[in-house]
Amino acid sequence: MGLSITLDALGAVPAFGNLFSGTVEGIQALNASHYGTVALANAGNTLLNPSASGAANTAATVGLTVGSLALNGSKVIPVLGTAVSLVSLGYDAIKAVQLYQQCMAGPG
Amino acid sequence: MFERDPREETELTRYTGLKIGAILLPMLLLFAYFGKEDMGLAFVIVLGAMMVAIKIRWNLRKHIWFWAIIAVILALHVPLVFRVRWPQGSAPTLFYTLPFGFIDFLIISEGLRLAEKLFAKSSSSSGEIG
Repeated sequence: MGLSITLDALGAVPAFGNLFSGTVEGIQALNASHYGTVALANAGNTLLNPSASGAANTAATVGLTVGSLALNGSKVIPVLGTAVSLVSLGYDAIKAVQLYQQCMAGPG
Repeated sequence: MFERDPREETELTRYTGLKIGAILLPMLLLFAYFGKEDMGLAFVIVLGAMMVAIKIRWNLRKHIWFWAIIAVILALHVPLVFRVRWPQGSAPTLFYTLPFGFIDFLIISEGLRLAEKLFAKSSSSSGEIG
């Protein structure tokens, strides 16, 4: 839960997104490498916890990396990434509150 | 026919994502209030992808077909929003929301691009006749 919230919070910071949306080709390459890293992390996660959804996520992020290269560092990726990160942060916060309430309510 | 204004493209920078996220968050909270946070997450991601797709093709806003296509795409998403079940494992939420959002955006964007191509062709051919 903590890792998830940290990732969401980092993704929601526009500076990170804008870092990947520069016009310099070198920065554009960073964009693709960023999603390439996420794809690798997803692949690792799938290997540790084999599941159909995990495999689908891995395929999706690999596709995203290729897409990022094809889009040549489009501004769309960081913009959408920031929005999705902020929404995911909200979702994780809701889940954390629910978990806390369940813990406080006790086993009975 | 439907050339984009370069100034409109440069508008999609810095805080656009944050603004879209800030608009969507209260909606997610509303869904959570009714105990439908999973459905809400899918709904706001679809809406976010849609908003970004609309933003980058904002030059088409004066065409009725553009909004009709948006309405059709949104309607096609309804079963998805109702059926989606997010994994409840230990994987960070971003690992599945981010690919979902991007793929949805690519599908919406491609749909709009095809519609633009189709309507540009039909409007140019009707212009030749008339």
